[in-house]
Amino acid sequence: MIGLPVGWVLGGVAFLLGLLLLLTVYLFIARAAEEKRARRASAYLERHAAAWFRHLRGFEPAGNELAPQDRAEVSAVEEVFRSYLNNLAGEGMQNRIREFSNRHLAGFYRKKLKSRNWSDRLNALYRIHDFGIDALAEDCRALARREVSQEERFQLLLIDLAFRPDGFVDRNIRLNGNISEVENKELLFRMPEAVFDEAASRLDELEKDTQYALVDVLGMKQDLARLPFLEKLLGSTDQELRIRALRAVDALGIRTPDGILRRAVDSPVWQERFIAARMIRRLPESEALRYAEKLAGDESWLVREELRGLGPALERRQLEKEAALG
Amino acid sequence: MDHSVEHAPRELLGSGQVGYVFDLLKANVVRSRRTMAFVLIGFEGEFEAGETEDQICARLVKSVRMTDAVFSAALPGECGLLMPQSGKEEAAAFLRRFSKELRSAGTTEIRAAVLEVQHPGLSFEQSLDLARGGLVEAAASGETVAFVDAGLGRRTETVKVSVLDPDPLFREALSMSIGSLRVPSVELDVRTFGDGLDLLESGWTASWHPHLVILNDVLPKQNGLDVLHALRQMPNEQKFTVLMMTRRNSEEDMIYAYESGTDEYLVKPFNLRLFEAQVKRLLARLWS
Repeated sequence: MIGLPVGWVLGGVAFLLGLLLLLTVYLFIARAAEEKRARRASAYLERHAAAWFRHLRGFEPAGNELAPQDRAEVSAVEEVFRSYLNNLAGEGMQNRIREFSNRHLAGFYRKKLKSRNWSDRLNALYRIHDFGIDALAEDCRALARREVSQEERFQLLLIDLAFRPDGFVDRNIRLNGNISEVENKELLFRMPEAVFDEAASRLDELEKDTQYALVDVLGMKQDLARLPFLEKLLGSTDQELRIRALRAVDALGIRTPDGILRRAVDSPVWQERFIAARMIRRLPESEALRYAEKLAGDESWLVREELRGLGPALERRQLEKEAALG
Repeated sequence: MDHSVEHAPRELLGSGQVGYVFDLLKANVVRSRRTMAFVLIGFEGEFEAGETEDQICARLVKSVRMTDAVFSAALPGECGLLMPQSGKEEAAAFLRRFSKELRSAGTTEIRAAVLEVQHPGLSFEQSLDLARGGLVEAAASGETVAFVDAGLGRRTETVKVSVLDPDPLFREALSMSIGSLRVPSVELDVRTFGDGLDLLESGWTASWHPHLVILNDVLPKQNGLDVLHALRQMPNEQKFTVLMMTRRNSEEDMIYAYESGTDEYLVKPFNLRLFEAQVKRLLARLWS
């Protein structure tokens, strides 16, 4: 058994107790500071909520008293902007938020962008994008040149798209591969029409994930004018791209052109036949049965299951054929 | 026992009855917030087809709606008509129709004065005096119908407005926006709530006042649709006009909200000017 002198044990306990006391004092001080900040923010909101309403409605310019004096007041202003942007729309309001943020908040967020703390930087990026602080566009570009996390990369792309849509595809055509598929879709959804068109026209140069996301977004947008583009993609050698393009055509909700349907029904890929079986349901019964006959004995259970609704009609047609043969 | 109800033959109201009927219909004007047209008709010229003044009044009794009341105005050459739930446009349209009917029957020409009864302080006698003044004006100007204004307007009515949203800043913004609206004869009493339960337990809904409820579909404790159901279950639920705010933009959600009894639907984020226009329209619809 290891024998320890009692003095050592007592000393250790006293040290731990002292450490605990220090930690408790720290927590109390931190809590008190946080509460003080919350009180200051709340007092700011109480004093200025009506003035913010009048300013953001465009009834009066922002007075100097609205400029935040410390971190607590900055968080109060952030709260005002978050609330208005979340619930209300209007170009004038967004412009007033941008002007005020450029004038009074840019310095605060510039410091945050240089922080070594990841969450500080990311929060600053969120605010810069949401409030449209284009005075920090150059600082964001400087940050983009550094090694950053995937979340920061996505925010930086959103900021670049919002502040400099011209040439966005050129600058970022390869970078999109560094973000997730969901983020890719969000980015594509937010693109102005001209930027999206450019991305679509340079589909071959995009990363695979971005290509797939773009085709999915085309389906979600349900823009009939994109049908010829999607039809072209159906001839791609990339099976995944073909399946997604076919799914996007299906999402348009129209009667699928015969050429597309014929190719999908005869496809060796079960996913394409499955989508074809879904498309068939939008055809008049006589036409649907023509295609359904081909798919009725499909090796894939999912394809056969998709045709279940046409089952009775198929059986009837079969009986008619047999009767005709004698 | 025979329970069939026969309609009593409609008759010309005499001076003893008309005051009572006028007060009764006026009370309904205030309650239903729908104006009543007070029409005084004067006959002119010869009664060519041999019809007497009484016969023309009797013809008027037959021409009006079941809800209208015709009265004898005491002075010769006059006949009066009370048209509940009607404005001056409806009264003018009726008079054009009646005038045509008289012309085709080859009998007398008419002139008329129309007064909209909106204010509870307007008595039958005052209305009659104003309408007689209108008849004199019509005769002087050569117009067939003269519109008379009692100068009282509508009685200013308090409309309760409840704003329910979990975001306190947004609640306040909506409250200020509604507070800045100017709607004739309407005084707005605005209160904000952070939750549906707060509203339902506040007792704020328990009064006869028209009540505009602007609520978010998602609320803590008791959400917007639950509040809507609770309000529509109340015995005097018609006093509530409900504007639902939501982030959900699907047709299914909208259909469900309308079927549950919402009057208007706003998808967030929305333009505050659009919101104000909708609220003004909803308030204007209180009176018709």
